[in-house]
Amino acid sequence: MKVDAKTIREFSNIIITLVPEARVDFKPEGLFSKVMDPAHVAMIALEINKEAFQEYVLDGEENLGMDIDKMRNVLKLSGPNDIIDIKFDGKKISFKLGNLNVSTPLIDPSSLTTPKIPTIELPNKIVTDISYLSTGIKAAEGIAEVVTFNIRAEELKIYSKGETDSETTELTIPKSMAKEFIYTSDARSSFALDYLSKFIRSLESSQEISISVGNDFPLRMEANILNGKGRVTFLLAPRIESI
Amino acid sequence: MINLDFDKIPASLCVSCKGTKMLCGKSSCPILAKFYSSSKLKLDVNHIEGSSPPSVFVGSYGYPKVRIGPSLPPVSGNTEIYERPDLWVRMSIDSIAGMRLSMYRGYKLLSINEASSPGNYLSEVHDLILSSKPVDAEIIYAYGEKRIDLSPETQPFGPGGYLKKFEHEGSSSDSTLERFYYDGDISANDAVLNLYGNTSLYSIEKMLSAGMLGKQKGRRIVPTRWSITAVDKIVSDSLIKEIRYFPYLDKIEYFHFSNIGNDYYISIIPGPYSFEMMENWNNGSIWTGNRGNIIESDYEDFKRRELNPSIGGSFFAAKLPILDHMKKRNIQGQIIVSRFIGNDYTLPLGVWQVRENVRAAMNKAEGIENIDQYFSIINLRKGIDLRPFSKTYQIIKNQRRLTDYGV
Repeated sequence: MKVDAKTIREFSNIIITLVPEARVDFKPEGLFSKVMDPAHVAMIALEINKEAFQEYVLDGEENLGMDIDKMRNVLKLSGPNDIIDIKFDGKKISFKLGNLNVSTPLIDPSSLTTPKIPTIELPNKIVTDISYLSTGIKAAEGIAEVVTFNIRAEELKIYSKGETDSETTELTIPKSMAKEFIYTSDARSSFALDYLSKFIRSLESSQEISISVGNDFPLRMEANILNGKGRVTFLLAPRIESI
Repeated sequence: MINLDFDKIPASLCVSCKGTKMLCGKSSCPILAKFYSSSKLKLDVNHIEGSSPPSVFVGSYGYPKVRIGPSLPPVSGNTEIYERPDLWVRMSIDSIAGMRLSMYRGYKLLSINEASSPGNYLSEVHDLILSSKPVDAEIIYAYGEKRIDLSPETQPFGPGGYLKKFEHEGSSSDSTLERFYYDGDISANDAVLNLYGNTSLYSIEKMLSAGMLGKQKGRRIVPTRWSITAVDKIVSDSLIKEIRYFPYLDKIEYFHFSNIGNDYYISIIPGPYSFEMMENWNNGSIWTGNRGNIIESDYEDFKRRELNPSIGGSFFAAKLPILDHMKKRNIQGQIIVSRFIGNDYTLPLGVWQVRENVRAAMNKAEGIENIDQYFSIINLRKGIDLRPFSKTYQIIKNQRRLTDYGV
């Protein structure tokens, strides 16, 4: 199959935020992967439609154990618009970039566990420009390890507190700035910032993101990637602040 | 076992002070004084001949005018091991103390700025430090009076006195050390990072202390105890910057190592980098005497780095070997170190002991179920539940898992 380097790079950048190795399922309609971090705090489900590929030829269905870390080293050798020709047999996956050929071993996919996505009902949802969210997260990164999402009838607030009470960050996204705003009840949950920052940073091609928040409950984010030719879902377990 | 005759001083004061801050208001530490009086050191010497490993000592008293000078045992030959704490892991506390307390010191009083353009004496000291092997040398004292300096960060040194004369044989220089000594354009920070892994950590400490690294105009003499922590910190800070982008360790690991009255229980837990160290001074240990046991702890994460830990330099000394270990394995995690100091740790030997023993602990990882098991191992063996003292534990317990929601 053939795909441009930046598509496969975004795929690997997203997966690597949680794990260095992943099981990737190649199905007739496209590629799917579900991963959970070793601490079981965060999960990512990622799909890329076959339309995102220049050429997508598949013999039935293939489940591959891929070393994402090694794959990223290969991608470093390519420019964003280079076309990469990917082939795999049972043991290895090969990448052809122009006249360069690199192959890396595959991992036994049965040694990689695929998490089940929990069915989490969340009462509130907001769809907004991803740049608002990333500004709020970046601001918090400067002072804290934990960030809190607080949704009320008219707004979503994303805030953090530093070592002292006078050191705080707060980003407000009012209902008027949201593309979609579904509110059922006031809710507040806090999250380890490290997971959020890495995930948000890995989304290079998304414009909008949907954020679902509950009360001391997991967070769900969903975004289209690659001009709608792919989709990512992110789940993050909360941190219960004992204050 | 110490029998303290100053029961009115609370043990917690001694544990925070460790003989350095004179928090009890006395002019010298009564606990340390007791050790020196029992060490039978020969003080009435007017000259010492021997092979310097090489070694230098810089006191902190009187800063920014400090005592700096060479140190050597009255032994000729290959004395390298006297300055190589990384080779002491299997030695007894008495043989380490005996060896180190025989390191007589001679010094002169210099301003710390002298390192930016060293005069004759300081150049002689630098020449000694650069030597690739032990150097035959002689210290001739100016007066009979000798000082004892001991700090919990520094490996012990013997008695010191003002120099009348210091002489040493010529010796070939270590080319790695020489390269950074003669590079007056590289910052001290970068010089330390470049040297780390290419020479003994203890040589880097000596060079930094004697004011041999950094941009020429900015070079300063640094008291030995500060230079030790400075090197640990410079290297650790650089490692943390790399490690925070590494994947999380895939499952919780447990490490244990026990040596010369120090017992280390370490765990690395999958998650973003953090480091916590708890020190438990047993009832009967050097700083507590029979005044009960004391627990102190410090915690840092990537954002909020601990710069002035209550447990002192051992915080930085324990962190470095674990970061080295993580770098080698390309992982990051949440680190907990629990150190128990027993009654048989009779003399503070310096933070090298923490660094080298923690490094030794890293050689063998064992899998455990979860963080509660880590604390129950400690509880079983030490009879104390450290969970209420551990910030890492609180954070992990507050962090929910997706598996809690039926994954």
